[in-house]
Amino acid sequence: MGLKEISYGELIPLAVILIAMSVLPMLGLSSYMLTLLSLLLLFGALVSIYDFFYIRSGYINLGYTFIVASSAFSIAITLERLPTALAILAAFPLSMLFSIAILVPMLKLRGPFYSVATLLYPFTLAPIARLFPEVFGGDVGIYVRPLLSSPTHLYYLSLAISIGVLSLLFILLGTRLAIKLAMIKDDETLAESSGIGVVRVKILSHVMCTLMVTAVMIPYTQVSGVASVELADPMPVLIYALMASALYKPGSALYSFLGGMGIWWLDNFMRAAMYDLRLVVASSLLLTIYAARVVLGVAGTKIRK
Amino acid sequence: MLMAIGFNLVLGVSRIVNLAYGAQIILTSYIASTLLNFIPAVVALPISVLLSLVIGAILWLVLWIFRKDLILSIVVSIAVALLIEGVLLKIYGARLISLVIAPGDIMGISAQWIIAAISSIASLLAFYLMMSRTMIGKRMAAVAENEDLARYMGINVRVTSMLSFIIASLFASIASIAITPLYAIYPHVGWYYLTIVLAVVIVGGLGSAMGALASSMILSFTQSLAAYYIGSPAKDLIPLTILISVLLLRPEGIFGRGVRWA
Repeated sequence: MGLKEISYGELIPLAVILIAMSVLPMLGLSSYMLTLLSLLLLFGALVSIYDFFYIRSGYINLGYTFIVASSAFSIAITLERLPTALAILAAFPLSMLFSIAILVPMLKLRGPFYSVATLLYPFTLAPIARLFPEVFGGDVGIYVRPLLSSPTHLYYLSLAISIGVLSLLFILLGTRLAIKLAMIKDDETLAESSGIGVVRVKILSHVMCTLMVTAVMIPYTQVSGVASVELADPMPVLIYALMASALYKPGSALYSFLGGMGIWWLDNFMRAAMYDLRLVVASSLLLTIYAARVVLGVAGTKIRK
Repeated sequence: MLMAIGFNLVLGVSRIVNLAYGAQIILTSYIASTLLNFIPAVVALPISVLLSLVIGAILWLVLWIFRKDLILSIVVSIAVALLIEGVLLKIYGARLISLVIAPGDIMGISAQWIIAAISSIASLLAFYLMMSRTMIGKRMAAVAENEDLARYMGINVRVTSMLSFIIASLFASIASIAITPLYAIYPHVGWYYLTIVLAVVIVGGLGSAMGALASSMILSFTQSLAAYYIGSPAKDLIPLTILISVLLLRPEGIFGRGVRWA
């Protein structure tokens, strides 16, 4: 397990891409392009987190966007009320508080029942936001206080956090947590009878996932400038995470990062060139990828042994 | 209630979690709304129901292929839901549509409401009679109880599963035609209907028709109370609040028999 699952050779293209991305601002790219690239990196990180913690464990959390959106709200809410350093620190426990709601079904349910129950969560954020407009800003969302004014600085912050998240995931791939998650996916009852504290693993992985998502959402909300319920929509984060995870070696974090960046780039192109066909293309791609997995005999989200 | 029973029927008989059910519901509304521009309602509505059944059968075929892996079938059903939403957005745009089937009042009550209530009660009664008095109903119950055993008894599981899907599509169509005159719809609203259906199904117990009946009443009653006493946005929070409470206290749902996944 561990890094054996992803060989050092496989890390080379990723390292090359990240090094190339670190010199991009020196080429005099426009602010718009830097903003796009920042979002691209952060999206890749969000997809990798999903891939590692949920696809790997077989707990297909369809409420992932609830964690993403509530983390964004946590950052915006704390930045609005507290000094910067304290706000960033406070955002983590606050987003944890929100994501406990997802943890509840995770401890009680398994398989499709869990997926179906979690799908409900993202759709409750809009009524919450409408019920408490002074906190969540209603349908429009809340403005995020800017911390960095320069797009180049924001870009480097995004790059640093993405590299940080990826490094952490790679370290985790070499730990017992990764093995335990894969064992839970294979057979949760067997994993439990083998002495794995399944509940403890679930809580630990959920906490780590939420903290990492919150870290990613700090530059993400800075780039987007707003935290709104739109982030809770399954499209694009959840749909593209499911898509990117299924491309190659599900649960390995590396390929989903690259896949996530590629798919986000495609989405950005579709938004600009063929907005009204975006959903049709995205859903067709999702169908094709999963159908291809069935045809190739690697159906589902099985992890390579 | 009708939608939740349809969703539960497919889940119980076919073991398919059809997350495209919300999209199926609004698809019928769009088909009916288009046909009503050209032909009278008496002809347009049956045709739109028929078309929805055909689409339901095609959807069954797609989900049946992926059925062996439940998670895979869930992802595929999400993709189908997005596809339907995307196609509707492309054709109709994001504007609201509404159907006018029966304008006016009957004794101070909107005729549309009366039609919705009558069609729902009639469908539920027909469903009850079908399940308890006909061979199709008994076959469905047998497949839901034990698929392998039902197969050994000579029941064609595939056909029974397809029939359950078609009946669920019929319920979706009836619910859709009953609801659209009351609430305007748009392509994205399918997700909202799906969340209501899921909340009803989970609270009532997966695969339990009686559970769906009871939980839909509990949810709609508490939603109305919340809307009246707290405000309109609060009513959308009720399903989740009840859902979390049920998950904490009784994860298999109020009427859930087995704990297949809980």
